[in-house]
Amino acid sequence: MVRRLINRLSGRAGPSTDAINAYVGGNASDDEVKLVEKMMRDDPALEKDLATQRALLEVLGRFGAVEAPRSFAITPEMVAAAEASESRISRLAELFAPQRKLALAPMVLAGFAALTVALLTIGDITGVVEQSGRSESFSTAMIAESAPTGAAGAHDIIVVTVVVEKATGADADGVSEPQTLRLAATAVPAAAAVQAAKAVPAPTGAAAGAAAEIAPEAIMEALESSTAGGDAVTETPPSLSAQAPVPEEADIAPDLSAGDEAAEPDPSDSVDSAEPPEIDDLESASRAGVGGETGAGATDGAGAGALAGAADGAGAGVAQGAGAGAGDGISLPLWQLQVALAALAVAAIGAWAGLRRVRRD
Amino acid sequence: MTNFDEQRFIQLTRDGDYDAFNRLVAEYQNAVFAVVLRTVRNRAAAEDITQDTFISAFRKISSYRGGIFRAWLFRIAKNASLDYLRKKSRRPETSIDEDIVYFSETVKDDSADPLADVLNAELARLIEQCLGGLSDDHRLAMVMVDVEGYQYDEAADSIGVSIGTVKSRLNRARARMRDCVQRQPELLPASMRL
Repeated sequence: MVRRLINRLSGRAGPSTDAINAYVGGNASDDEVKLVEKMMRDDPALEKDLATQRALLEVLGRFGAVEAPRSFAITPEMVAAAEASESRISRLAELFAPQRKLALAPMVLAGFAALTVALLTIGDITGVVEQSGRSESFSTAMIAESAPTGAAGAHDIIVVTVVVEKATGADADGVSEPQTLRLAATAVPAAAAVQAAKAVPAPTGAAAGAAAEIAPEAIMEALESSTAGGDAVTETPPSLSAQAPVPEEADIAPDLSAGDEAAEPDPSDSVDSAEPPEIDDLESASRAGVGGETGAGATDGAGAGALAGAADGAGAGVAQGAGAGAGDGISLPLWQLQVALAALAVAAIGAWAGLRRVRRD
Repeated sequence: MTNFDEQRFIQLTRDGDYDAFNRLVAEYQNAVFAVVLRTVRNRAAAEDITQDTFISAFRKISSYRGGIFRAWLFRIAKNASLDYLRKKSRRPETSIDEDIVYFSETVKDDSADPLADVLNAELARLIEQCLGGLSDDHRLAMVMVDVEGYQYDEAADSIGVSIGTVKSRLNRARARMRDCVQRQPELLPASMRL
């Protein structure tokens, strides 16, 4: 049944059709005759049907041959006249006549162009493709600068600077200019940092002694809001107060902690002299970045131990995180492609209609 | 005409020899005119189309790549006929009665009975009308195989479809013709009545 359906849909004759045709035409083989006779036994109406068809063919066969009413011999003048009357457009139109193989070419081309436009539009909406020149990427660098204020490594003020480098699309010269945006700087009081460190349980076992994880909320909030979207990088996170531009060099206030003997800041411990260690991830940076310990804090919480690196003067931790910008999809000259393909579809349909009109005339 | 002659005339035609081509025209003009006439069912149009067919064949002789030459001519004639029918379907102002080519004009009847003549003429008219009710593709298949008597392979080559497609179209055309002629059973010979 499936084969019969396929044959029917594709216009091909099946074995039973072949047999019937041959039987009606009077040139069936023995096998075909047997097949048809079986079919007639199964369907009595078929026998009368086929008998009628055989009679019809007999009548058709009685019609005599048609003779040409005159000679259709050609002359050079006829050929020249035909060539003259056939314009270039007519010849082109003839190529796309309905019975020709190219007949459907314009519509196929238009359909393909329209489908591609639709796919590109869907891809744009879903983010699979994007307009080229729009992708951005930015990296964030969190620089925590701290300066020990005393021998005990008391850090009273920690300056956190989040530096965002946003790489925009290439300019006219094709050069991509990174832009450095200093979001803000804030001073995180050492006490607050120590308090946060205290809240972190001391690592045990194999992790004992390792730097505890501290996630300075202010810093993380700032980073999350800056990575949420392209525009967000320009916003000053609420957790970071806008202040005067952070000086290039660390200009840390002197030790303000009460109870500690003031100590002269050790120039050698200044941030500038310390090479910021390379840190792989933001969490590590936060560990190094929030430096600060008081004498008391260091013993209270293991978290404070994490600040040792900072306390030693290597206070600047630089973490670089590459933030993904708005561009994750395949970069294409999207709107240009859409316009070009739409124009192609319209042109193909117009050409098809025009050639059809020429043929009609 | 032997194959040798035909191929020789075709080669001469490629060289621009009008006389050689007109020998081919003389050989095939009856067959081409008959198929065109049965397809378009209008004598004047059939003459124009047949003439255009041979002019096109001369101009496009370089596109003939071998095979049955008559089938190649039929293919040109078929395209021209279908073009005519499409144009005609868009301009139906011509009276249908004027277009019908009565098969009765060509009925071979050996009997001397005038009544039989009348019945044959009516039957021919009925068959002509039923043929006119078929689609162009079905009618062409039926004309080539059942009326003109060509084999399936030549009919397929002429129409430009597979043999299976010709058989399928023929099968449907015969069934529809049967249904059509059954509407006026009084005209049918006893063997054709259900």
